[in-house]
Amino acid sequence: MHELSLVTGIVGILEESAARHGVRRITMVRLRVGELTAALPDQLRFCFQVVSDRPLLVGARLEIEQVPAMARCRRCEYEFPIGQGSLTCPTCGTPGARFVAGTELVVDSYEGE
Amino acid sequence: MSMEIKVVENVLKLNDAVAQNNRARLAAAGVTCLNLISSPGSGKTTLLERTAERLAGRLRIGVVEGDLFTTRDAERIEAHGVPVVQINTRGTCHLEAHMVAQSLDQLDLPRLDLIFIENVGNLVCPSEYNLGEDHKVVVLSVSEGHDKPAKYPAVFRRATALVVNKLDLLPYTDFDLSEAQADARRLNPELRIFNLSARTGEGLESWCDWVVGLAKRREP
Repeated sequence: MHELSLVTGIVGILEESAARHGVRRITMVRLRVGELTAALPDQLRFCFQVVSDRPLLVGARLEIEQVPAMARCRRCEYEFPIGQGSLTCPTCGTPGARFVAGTELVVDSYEGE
Repeated sequence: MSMEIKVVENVLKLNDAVAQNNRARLAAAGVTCLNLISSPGSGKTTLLERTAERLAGRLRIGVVEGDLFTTRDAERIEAHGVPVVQINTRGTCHLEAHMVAQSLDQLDLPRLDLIFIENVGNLVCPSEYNLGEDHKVVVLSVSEGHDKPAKYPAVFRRATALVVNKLDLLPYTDFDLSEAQADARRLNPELRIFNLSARTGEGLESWCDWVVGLAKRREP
């Protein structure tokens, strides 16, 4: 829904890091995108294309790893996938498990020269 | 020569840093801040109008109004003599911390006890952007259906309180109040739930008492 603003943030992170490491051209970017974020991979790719017309990013590929949503029980610490919006522990029945994966939106790494 | 560079940086880190700064400013001024999140048309503005009326003389409140393009909501709030700052996101589906930072510049923080931020009507995106608020409050109206907690778990997990609004319409809908509450509590057992009708005033008192309690706790 707000992928363009996210991609602007991604480009900012890349520009800063590339300047620090003396990278002049980025060929590939790896993102980790959690299932619980409102960011859709196809939309991210489209928006990335739109903003990658600068020398640093021309032709750069975007590789997106989707991270499934996981929760950890507050009582027994069991970790389980969040399906159908339930945060109730399937092992001990305790409600309100905490998100442990699926909320991230991370620039993991990039390749460049 | 090609090389791989590890980054591992959160894309929202800039927003989080600005939100942290907002939080510090508000805390230094002794201001409590609530971020209201809901679908469009759940009654956030009406809830704020009725709340402002009831809190007059008890708390000094200010409002930050998020809206895509119009100033309609801000005008409604202003009519109650409450300081209000309008943010037009021009199509952006949520408020971001830097927008709120600019709004805080326009409010006389030391003269306020509490700020309500009315987010853009949307149950998805606003829950991901911290603004520097003390608590997120999700507003759900009975005409939207009781399946919303299960369908939008993130916002209900992150909220401190749930306001179920338009209680006066309950007899005309298929909304199952106990099922909505049970679903919400399965996501978030500590969730405070207020069933009310901003229009008729039913249930408003306990919501207002809770808000006053939060603001009083913040006082030095």
